[in-house]
Amino acid sequence: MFAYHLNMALRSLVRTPGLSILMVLAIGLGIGVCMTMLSVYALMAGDPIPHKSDRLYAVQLDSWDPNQPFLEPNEPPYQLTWRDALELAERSPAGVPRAAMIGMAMIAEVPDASNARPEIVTGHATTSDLFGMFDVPFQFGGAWDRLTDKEAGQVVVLSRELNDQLFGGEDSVGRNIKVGDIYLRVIGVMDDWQPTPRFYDVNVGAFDRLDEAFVPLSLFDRHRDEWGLNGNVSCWDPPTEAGLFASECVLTQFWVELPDAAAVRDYHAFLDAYVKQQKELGRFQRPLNNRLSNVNEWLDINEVVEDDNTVLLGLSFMFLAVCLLNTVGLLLAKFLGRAGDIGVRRALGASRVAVFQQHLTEVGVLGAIGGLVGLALAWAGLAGVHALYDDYERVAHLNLELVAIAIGLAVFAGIAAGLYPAWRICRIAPATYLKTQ
Amino acid sequence: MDIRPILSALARSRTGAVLVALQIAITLAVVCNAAFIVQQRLAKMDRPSGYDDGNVVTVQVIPLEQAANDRSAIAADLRALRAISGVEAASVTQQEPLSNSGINWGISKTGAPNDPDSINLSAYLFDEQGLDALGMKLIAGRWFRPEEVQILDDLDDLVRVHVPSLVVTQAVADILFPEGDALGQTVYDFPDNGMQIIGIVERAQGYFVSRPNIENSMFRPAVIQNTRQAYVIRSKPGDLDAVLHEVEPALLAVNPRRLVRHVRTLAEVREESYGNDRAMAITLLAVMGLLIAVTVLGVFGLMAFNVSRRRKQIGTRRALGAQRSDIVRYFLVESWLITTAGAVAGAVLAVALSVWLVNTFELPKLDWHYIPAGIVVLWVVAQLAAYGPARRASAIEPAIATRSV
Repeated sequence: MFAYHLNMALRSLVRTPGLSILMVLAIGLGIGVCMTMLSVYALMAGDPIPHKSDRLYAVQLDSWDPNQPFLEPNEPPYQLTWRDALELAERSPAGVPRAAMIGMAMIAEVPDASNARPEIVTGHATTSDLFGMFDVPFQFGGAWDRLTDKEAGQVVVLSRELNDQLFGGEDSVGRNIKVGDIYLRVIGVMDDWQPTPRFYDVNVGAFDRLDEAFVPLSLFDRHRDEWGLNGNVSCWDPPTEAGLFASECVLTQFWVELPDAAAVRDYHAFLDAYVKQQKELGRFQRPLNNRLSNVNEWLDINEVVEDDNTVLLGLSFMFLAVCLLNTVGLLLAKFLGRAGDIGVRRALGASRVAVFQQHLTEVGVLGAIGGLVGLALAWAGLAGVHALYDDYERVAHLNLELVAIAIGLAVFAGIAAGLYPAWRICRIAPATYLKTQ
Repeated sequence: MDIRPILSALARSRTGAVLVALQIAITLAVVCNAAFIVQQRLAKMDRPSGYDDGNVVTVQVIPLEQAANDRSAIAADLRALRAISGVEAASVTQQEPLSNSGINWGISKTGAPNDPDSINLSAYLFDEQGLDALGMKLIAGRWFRPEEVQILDDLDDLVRVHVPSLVVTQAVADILFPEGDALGQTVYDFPDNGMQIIGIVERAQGYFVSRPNIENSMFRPAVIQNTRQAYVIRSKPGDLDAVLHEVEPALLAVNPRRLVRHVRTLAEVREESYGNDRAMAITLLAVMGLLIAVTVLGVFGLMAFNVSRRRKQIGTRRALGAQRSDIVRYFLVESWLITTAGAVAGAVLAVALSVWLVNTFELPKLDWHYIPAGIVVLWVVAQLAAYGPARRASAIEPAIATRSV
C-alpha cells in the first residue's frame, strides 16, 4: 500500500511542477537557515570529548583577593598560580592522572633547512599525563613520560599541521627544531585532534587555532623569560621582585582525571588539605572555595557559547515557522484544487484514512526533497558563516549527525505542515465534487 | 467603499487569511528586533576611537633573541621609523589599541584594596611621541616629555619603579573627578604608588572593543625593553601607502633577526576586532531579507489562490457594473485587512520577543519606533505582492458570469 501511495505522491508532485517547486523551496529555505544556525550552535555547545567528559575535571582554587571575589558573587579565578599548579602536580595522590599546563609561544626554526624562516609557534607547556588523559592520537611517535617531566627533557610534540609545515608531513620523530639557543627533539607528531571547543584552555577563545606544539612544563620553566606566554594573566596582588611566576597572579590550567564520585570526594579532601596548609603560610586568605568541574560544567562556567549564536538559533526557528505556515497555505491551495479527483476516489471506495495517508505520504516526500535542498542551502550558509566569522574555522561544517537531523527535521516539518491540509481534504463530501458545476 | 462583503468573504475562507496573518505577525516581530540589533551593532562599530585611524600604522616586532631588544635597539628602530619620508610621528608600545588584547589596570583616588570607586581601564605605555603618533586630541594639561619616559625591564616594574605621571581620557577624569578638576590630582593603583594626572585627552578607546569600559584608558610614560614591541606610526595625509610599504624594510634593515608582522592601519585593526559584530549584523540582515521574501510570497500566493477561486464572483460583479479599478481595490483592501490583522498581532509579538531578549541576553530594550516602521514596510511590501493578482482579477471578463461551467 505504501508503494502505491508513494507512486501517487510522486505523480501528483510532478503534475503541478510550479507549486511543488515553491513548496520544496519554502521547506528547503527554512531547513537551510535552521541547519546553518543549528550546526554552529551544536558544535559550539557540544561535548568536545564525549567518551570522557564526565571523568575529566578542571581544578579551581580561591587564591584571590581577601577584599573581593574574583567574580561576583563568590567565584574563584579560572586559573591557578604557577606555584600552586606545580605543587598540585607534585603532590596529587599517586593514582590520579594530573595535567598542569600553561599557554606559551616560542619562535622556532628548522635548523639547516635552506628555506626555513623562524615561525611563531603557539601551544602549551604541560606535564606528560595530558596525552593519556585527553586520549590524544598520534601519527608518529608518542608523548614523553614522567621521567622526562622531572628532567626537563628538551623534547617537543608537534601537531599534524605544524609537522606538515616544518617537515613536509614526513615522520620527523628524532629530528630537531631550534628554539632560541636550544634544540628540541621531536618525540611525537599528533594526528588530527580537534577538540571543539578547546575545553582545556578557553582563556583566549575556545574556537581559535589549535595548539601547534606541546613541551614539558619543566622545560618551559627553565626558559620562561625567553619564551612568551600565550594566555591570560590576572593579578590581584602585584608581583614582587621575585617575578610573575612566584606571585599570586593566576596563569596556569590544571586538570585531573577522576573515575567516580568517590574519587571526586577524595580529591576534594586533598585540595582542602592543601589549601589549609597554604593558609598557615599566609596565603589563601579567602574562605575555602575549591571547585572541581567536569568538562561540560567547565564549558558552562566559561560561557563558551556566544549569546549571538543563541539569538540567531531562536530567530532561525521562527524563520522555519514562517516557512512552514507558507507551506501549509500552498498545500491547502493544492489539495483543495484537486478536490474533484479526491471526490471520485472516495466515491470509488477509498476510505478517509487512505486519502489521509495518501496526502501525508505526498507531504512526507515533499519534506524529504525539501530536506535535501535545505542541506545544500545549509552547506552554502555554513560557507558564508566561515567567511564572516574568522575564528569559526572548526565550527562551520556539517557532520553525519547533523545531516540526519536535517532530513529528519525536514520530513517532520513537512508532515506537520501537511496534517491540517490532509485532514481538510479527507473530510470533503464526495458528492459535492461529483456534480458538474 | 463597503468593507462588509470583503469581511464576509474572508470569514468564509478563513484559513488562508489566518495563515498569512500569522506569517506577517512573526515576520514583523523578528524584523523589528533584528533591525534594532543591527542598528545597535552598527552604532557600536561607528564609535570614534579618538585616534587618527586612517593614518596610523601599527606593526608588531618579535625579537628572536629577547635580550636583543634593549633600549638602544628600540631607539634605533624609532630613529629608522621616524626617518621614513611621510612619517609625522612614531612611538613604541606593548600592544596596539583596539586589538582585543592588552593590559587591564585598576586605579582609584585612594589606592586602598577595597576602594569601591576604583575603576578598571586599559593601560597604555608610550614615549614622548605617543600623542602625535596616535593622533589624539589633548584637551587639558600636557603630554610626556622625553626625560619623563622611563625604561622598564618588565610590566611588573610599573609597580616597583615610580612612574609619577599619567594622562587619562576625559571619561576617566569625569568618573574620578566629576567636578571637572582632574588635572593635577593624584590617583593610585596601589596604596603607596601615587601618580599625578598631567594631561587629559578627549578620547582614546581601550584594547577590548566589546567591554563596557572601552572609553576608560590611561597612558604612562614608559617603555619595556627586552620583550616584543608594537610600533605606532602616523603618516602625513596622503603618504599612507608609502609609509605602509616602508615600515617592514626599515625595521629589518636595523636588525633582520626578528619577526616583523601585522603591518596594518589602526582602521584595519579595528575592523578585525569588530569582526563578530559585523558578522552578526550581516547575518541578521540576510535573515530579515529572506523572511520578508518568504512572507511576500505567502501574500502573493494567497491572493492568487483567492482570485482563482472567485472567478465567477468577480465576473458577476463586473457584469453588474463594477469597474476594473473596483476589483483591484477590492483585493488590495482584502490584502490590507489581512496585513493589518497580522501587524497588530505582530506588534504584540515584537514586544514579547524584545522582553525575552532583554531578560535572557541583557540586550537593550527595543526602541518602539521600530514597530510602526516595520508595519509600514510590511504594508508596502504586501500591497505590492497583492497588486499582481489583483490586476489579473480585474482582467476577468464579465462574460464568465453567464457560463455554467
